[in-house]
Amino acid sequence: MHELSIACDLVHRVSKILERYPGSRAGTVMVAVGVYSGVDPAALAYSFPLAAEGTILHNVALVTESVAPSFNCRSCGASRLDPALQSCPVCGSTDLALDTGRELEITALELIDEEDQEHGASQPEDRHDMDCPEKQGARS
Amino acid sequence: MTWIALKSRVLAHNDTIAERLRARLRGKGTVCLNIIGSPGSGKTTLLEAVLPRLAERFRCGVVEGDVATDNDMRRIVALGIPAVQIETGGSCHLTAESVERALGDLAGGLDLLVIENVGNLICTVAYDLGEDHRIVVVSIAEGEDKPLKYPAAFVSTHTVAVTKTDLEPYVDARVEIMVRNALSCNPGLRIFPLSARTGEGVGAFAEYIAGKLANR
Repeated sequence: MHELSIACDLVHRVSKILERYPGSRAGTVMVAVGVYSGVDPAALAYSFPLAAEGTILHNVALVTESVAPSFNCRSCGASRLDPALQSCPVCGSTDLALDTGRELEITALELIDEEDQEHGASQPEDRHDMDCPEKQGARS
Repeated sequence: MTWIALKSRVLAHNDTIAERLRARLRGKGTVCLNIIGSPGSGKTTLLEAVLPRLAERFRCGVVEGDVATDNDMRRIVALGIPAVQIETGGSCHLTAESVERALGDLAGGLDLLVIENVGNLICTVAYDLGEDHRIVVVSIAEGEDKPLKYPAAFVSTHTVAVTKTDLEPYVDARVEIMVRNALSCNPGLRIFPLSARTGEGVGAFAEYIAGKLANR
């Protein structure tokens, strides 16, 4: 269970990104989580509100997207190969290496003007309903 | 409201330190290995078997990671090989920052730096420690389907050591099937079945590491 430390890193990263957008706060952050990243999206979804508590990311929503694994061939360079393959369909080599599937990346950030927040008041203060891990953690 | 597209690594802080460490070690001609495996898979025992062979030709050093105790560091130091211990106090993995801090003067003038990670086959996978090569250690006693149960570790590496092969007659697991299972996760793997106790296979694994050093 290292997702809490990952969540703390995530809060740190998003806070740094927000520094580039004065007058904005974050609404939703999207994170790509590779199936072989070593990170459980459900545990990350559970940990993120705990890490964000008391920071400028308090009440920010986290959406995770699963990234399926694929291999590339280190002999001929073929890419996006099905991870179930035991050899390269192009050249026959077994020297395959993971190409996608280890991602742990922030892919998008929703910015909300601080002014809009005052108008809309759409972020109720009583929100502590951490998003259901089953809902967010589903791997495709 | 607006959306901005990003491609920002969550572990950028760790990765930046890892890259700095890798550049520093490569600048000194040091090859760095990150050894990961379950608790009790035989990581330290493997080092005890392999390092004395390598130490005849190369200057070796070890960073030991454990939740508690410096037992493993003392086992390495007893071989006459310099080692430092990181006690994580509960954390399930080493970070590049913890390794950089612990290294101190150890990295000066080494040909081979071995980082033995905390015993864990999940959390350790996510953290780059600045290594050149990651090696997964799995013992036959853990069951021949271990690679299928923990595929993330086996696809994150090119090298696997299957340890404790001398126990094969006593456990319901066949080395051959474990090797096949590991290859089904990652066909590009080099797999070294070995027994630190009998010495079988240790020489081939040591030569493989020596080859990595020769190709610096």
